[in-house]
Amino acid sequence: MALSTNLEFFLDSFGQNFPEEHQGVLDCVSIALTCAFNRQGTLLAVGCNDGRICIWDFTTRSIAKIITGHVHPVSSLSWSKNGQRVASASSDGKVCVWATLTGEPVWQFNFSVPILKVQCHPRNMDQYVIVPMKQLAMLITVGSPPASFPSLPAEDDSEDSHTYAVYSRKGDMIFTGNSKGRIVAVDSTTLNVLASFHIHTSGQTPTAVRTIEVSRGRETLVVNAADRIIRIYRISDILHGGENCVVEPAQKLQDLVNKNTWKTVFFSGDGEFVCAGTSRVHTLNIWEWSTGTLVKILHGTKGETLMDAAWHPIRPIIVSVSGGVVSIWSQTHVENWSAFTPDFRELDENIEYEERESEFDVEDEDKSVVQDEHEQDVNDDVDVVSVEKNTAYFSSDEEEEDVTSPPVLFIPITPEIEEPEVDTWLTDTLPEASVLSNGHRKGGTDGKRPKTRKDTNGGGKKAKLDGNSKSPRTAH
Amino acid sequence: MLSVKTNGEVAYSPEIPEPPLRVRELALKRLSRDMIEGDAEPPLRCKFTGIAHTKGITSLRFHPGGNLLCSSGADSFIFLWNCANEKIVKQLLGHKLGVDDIAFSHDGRYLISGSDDRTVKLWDVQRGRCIRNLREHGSSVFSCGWNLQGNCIASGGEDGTVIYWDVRSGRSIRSVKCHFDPVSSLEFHQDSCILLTASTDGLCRLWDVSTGHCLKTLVEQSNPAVGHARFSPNGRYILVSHMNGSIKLWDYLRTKEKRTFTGHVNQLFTIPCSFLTSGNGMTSVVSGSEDNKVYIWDLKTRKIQQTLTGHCDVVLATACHPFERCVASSALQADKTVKLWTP
Repeated sequence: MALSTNLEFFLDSFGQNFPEEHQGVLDCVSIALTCAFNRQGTLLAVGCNDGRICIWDFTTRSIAKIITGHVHPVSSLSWSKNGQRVASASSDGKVCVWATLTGEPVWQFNFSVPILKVQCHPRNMDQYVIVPMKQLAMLITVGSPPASFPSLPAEDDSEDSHTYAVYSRKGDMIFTGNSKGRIVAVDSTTLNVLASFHIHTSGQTPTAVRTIEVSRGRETLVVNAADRIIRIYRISDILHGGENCVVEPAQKLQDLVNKNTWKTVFFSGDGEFVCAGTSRVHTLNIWEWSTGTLVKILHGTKGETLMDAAWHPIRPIIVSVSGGVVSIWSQTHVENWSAFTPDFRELDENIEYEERESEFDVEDEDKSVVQDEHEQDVNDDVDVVSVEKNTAYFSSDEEEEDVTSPPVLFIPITPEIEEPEVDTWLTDTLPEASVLSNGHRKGGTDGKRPKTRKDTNGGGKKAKLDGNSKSPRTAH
Repeated sequence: MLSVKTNGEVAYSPEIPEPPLRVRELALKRLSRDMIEGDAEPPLRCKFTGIAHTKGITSLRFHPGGNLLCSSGADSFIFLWNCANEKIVKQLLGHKLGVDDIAFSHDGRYLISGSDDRTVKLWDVQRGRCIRNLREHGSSVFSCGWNLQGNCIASGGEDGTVIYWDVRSGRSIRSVKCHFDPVSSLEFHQDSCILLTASTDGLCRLWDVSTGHCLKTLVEQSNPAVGHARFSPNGRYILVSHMNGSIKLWDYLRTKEKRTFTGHVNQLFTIPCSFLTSGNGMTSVVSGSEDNKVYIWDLKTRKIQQTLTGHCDVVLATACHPFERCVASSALQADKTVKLWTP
């Protein structure tokens, strides 16, 4: 319940749905390397160079919890669907699963090689997929012995390692990529290969897959390949082809001017945009992928290299990790003047105003007609109790909210006593008489209110609009 | 979560308090379970009258757990009453001037109070101690509220400024000049994304909490001062109490008036109104009145269901029990009592 359809109702009118400017930074004290939003975007986990995981409360932009678990840099983070678990992988080969509320480790395992990526199953918080360096991706089930962890199927190629693996939105499939440019869709329970294809390149040499991301809602997949081209595939196309098929991307994106290689590529929360971060400098390119138009380039501080970036699941906000801190990119806010008063309309150019019927009449002969409009319908049923199901997160991949494990949207706060008040005391079952007799009955003014209405004919809203130099032209 | 032992002490169960979402869910479930359509409502009767305040009572709130009632007064005192035996469980002392508004966090562990001494104080309910003193307002604090997560507080001042506070650090996040007149009430939407403010300048405004920008303004045609505005239990409508003796229910998304409730007297004071949900699915609207009564309207028919008489001064504060058919009311100066009304 982080964002209602109500807010979307208001925000839709603002048009643009991608961030445009630098808003600020989150400084974790230690050098930040990687970050991940929880499902509702209320918490942001940031993995640091010294192995700490900072969980930021994204509403108040303050650190809610610091988990100290790794001693080596954190390489990857992933939230479970309900936010109760955070999985982390570090470059010394340790994979940990943490309980968000307590910060205690639930499960951990040491591998002999660095782990590039860990991802929690989108539906099941006991299953994880990990990508160890120069090995096949593995499927991990919490509680079962490590020896039984199955590797995802290797390709026919001589090289048997994966560069990336990612769950589909429902978690029923896993997509893996390798250094030969081969992408395989695997059933996540049976581990049968459902479909596979090679990235089609213009030359003869195959290109390595760097990252794969799945969009929310729309059934698409974005592949970041070493040949600097971002390819977007429809999952239906891939599955339709079966094994060793030829799949044409739905869209190809690249930077023809700078020939950038991309460090990270990801979808926007609604799946309309694709954002790519360059590997050498702190720059983020945003495309509207259906048309292939580059809509925005966000430039970070010069001389910094981008480590990781993520799009807020609901809002047009991007966070990028660079120079050891987390930068937040958000929309430039244009004051919506019509929000301040109901009959106010913003115009792009002057128009001739047509007065309403009877607007300047001394006596309104049509009054009864107007009143009819404001008639309230008695039979109109008003339900003030029952809560509508929030569809904000239920994209095509969502069927039911999990009732058994309520989502963790926040970490409860336990504020410490900062300035204990000397005169604060508590009484258990205080005798009423003693309260009455303690002489506070002074003739002073009543604490609250009699707040009589000011006589200035409610000029508040008018002053608000006219008093500002940016005040737009009104229709009347 | 919170229970009152036989000796009147407040005790917490040792486990982490349930997430507030659950509390609300349970309350709603409980409502739907008890629903029997068509049952006539038994009239409310006064269960007890509590005397403790030495001046007029400004605000009343039920604890989300339902067994505690909190009252604040112009005498700067805040009392926690046990609903079962009318005993005072705790007294929260610390404000130097009258307290104008109080609000429980949704998990019931904390209480905030806004006062004429220009501070907002955060109290630990169980320990009965002030744990934060938020000082940044340049005028009296007239209203305050929590977001659902309990990490953010908003408080509105007499000068029309609303300040958002980070509970964790006690620092202000943002200060927004929302109105030109005192902010008479404010409330977060259940999803914590929208803040509703009402002011005596006659406007109700909806604000985007994360950016602090205005989303919408609701104004009644004749522009009477707004004494109170609150979201319906499901967050789809807002109930607006105008200081011309009318209470209106708005569909704020479509900017449409759905209901008007009249009959009570309200010209001078910012009298809060609230929703009373009861077992058989009937919803009522409750408000105090300047003719010393409490009015209860049927939401569906807009007719007055019952008036509660007994107070001898203006009934400023009323509160409805989170899940039972139970109303608390309190009055000003000449009366100074808290009354609890149950069927």
